[in-house]
Amino acid sequence: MSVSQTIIVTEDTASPALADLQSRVTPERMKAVIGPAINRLTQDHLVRRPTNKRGWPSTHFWARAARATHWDAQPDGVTVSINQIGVRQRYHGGPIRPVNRRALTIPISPEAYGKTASDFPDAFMIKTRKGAYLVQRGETTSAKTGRTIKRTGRGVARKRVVAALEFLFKLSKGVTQDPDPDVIPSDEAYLDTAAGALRSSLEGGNS
Amino acid sequence: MAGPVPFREAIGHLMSKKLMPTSMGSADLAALDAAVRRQALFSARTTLESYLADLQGVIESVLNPQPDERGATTGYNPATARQALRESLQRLGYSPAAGEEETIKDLSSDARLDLVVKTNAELAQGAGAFIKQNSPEVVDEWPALELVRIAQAREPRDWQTRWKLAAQVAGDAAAYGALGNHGRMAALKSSGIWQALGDGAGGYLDTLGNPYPPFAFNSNMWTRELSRAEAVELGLIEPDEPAQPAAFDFNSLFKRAA
Repeated sequence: MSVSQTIIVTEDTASPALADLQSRVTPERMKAVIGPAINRLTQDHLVRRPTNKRGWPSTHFWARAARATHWDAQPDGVTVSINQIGVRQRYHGGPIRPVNRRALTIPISPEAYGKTASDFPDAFMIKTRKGAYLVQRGETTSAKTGRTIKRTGRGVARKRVVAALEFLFKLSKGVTQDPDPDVIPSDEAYLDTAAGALRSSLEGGNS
Repeated sequence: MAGPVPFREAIGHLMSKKLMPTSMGSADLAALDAAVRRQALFSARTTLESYLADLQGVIESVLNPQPDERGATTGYNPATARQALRESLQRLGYSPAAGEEETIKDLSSDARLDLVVKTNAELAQGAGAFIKQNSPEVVDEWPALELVRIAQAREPRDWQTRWKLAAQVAGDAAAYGALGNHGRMAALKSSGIWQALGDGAGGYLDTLGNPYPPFAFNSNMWTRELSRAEAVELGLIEPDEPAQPAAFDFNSLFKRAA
């Protein structure tokens, strides 16, 4: 014995719905849904990144990275790109060596953070047992009281006066930076965001 | 991770600008037509054309870092950009006027160099984003924008008051309501509020005349796209209402000032 079932279509509501769906799932349309979604995910992520660990005045590195983020349609999908120097290095990590100069200048004071050695034309190098540094003269202070004083002391008083040196940069032949996969959102976050945006768009309202 | 894809719209806008040496101060420049300012690269009281050419090259490098033969990305950051521009001024024999050293009027001061690099890079990025946000395919899915702070400021400006004033000038009750009812500075991309913000509606003099960020000098505010569902929730658009792009001549962003 065989079983058969017949469905009689009295009103074709499926065809228009399918045609509407088909118009919504063109590659261009899908890219226009997904591109801004993952671009925004990336920018929101960058803006939430913590500022420098030392609490020095911010150079707004991550805000600049967010502004430098954009998306592009590719033949087989979309690409989000962060066009800013330093982001790729932080993500991948790895060695940093001086190029066209003898040493890297690692900032070790808030004043030097976000600056280059050329911003301190009066800086000079000193070598200590811990390494070489670029320093500049600070104010002259009393070794006894710590207060700023004039350089006119004599005798014993003069000996108590020390010329304060402000350590700006440590000089280094190179450093190796640890990779930081949290620079950008996780693969899962990208997939979830893309899938969510597509789903919402197909349901009639992107979210 | 693939290499960076150039931000073509931002770079194209920057490189199409005409170099405009000028002896005008910032107040006189602000009085120029906004379209002329958009299509020209200038800086107050900067008459050295070759310096402006160097500035354009430096900004392009900031926007478009390139991998070198070792695979490392190279390009200017704000510190090295400042250094390169200071060297350019030295080569040209520039020296600040007496009494103006290290002030904002001194082209070689940190504050001035930081301002011109930041402003010009952000103007290009803002224009690039504005173009992409208003492409026809995108607008229907992402019909609105939100004004958000992306970095903290030492003395934050009152953008909520600016928003309300701009909404009134633009006649955009929905944008006004988005802030009042939801605490969000959000409006449709087609709203006149964006141009009103850039025009300093309410009498603000620190603005740049554009319907895209940065709306004002040294601003840490930027725009963030909102989906149709979010725009509906904020009362900006009906679910089936067609969305429109900004009423703006986007080709003008790739034209040189006459």
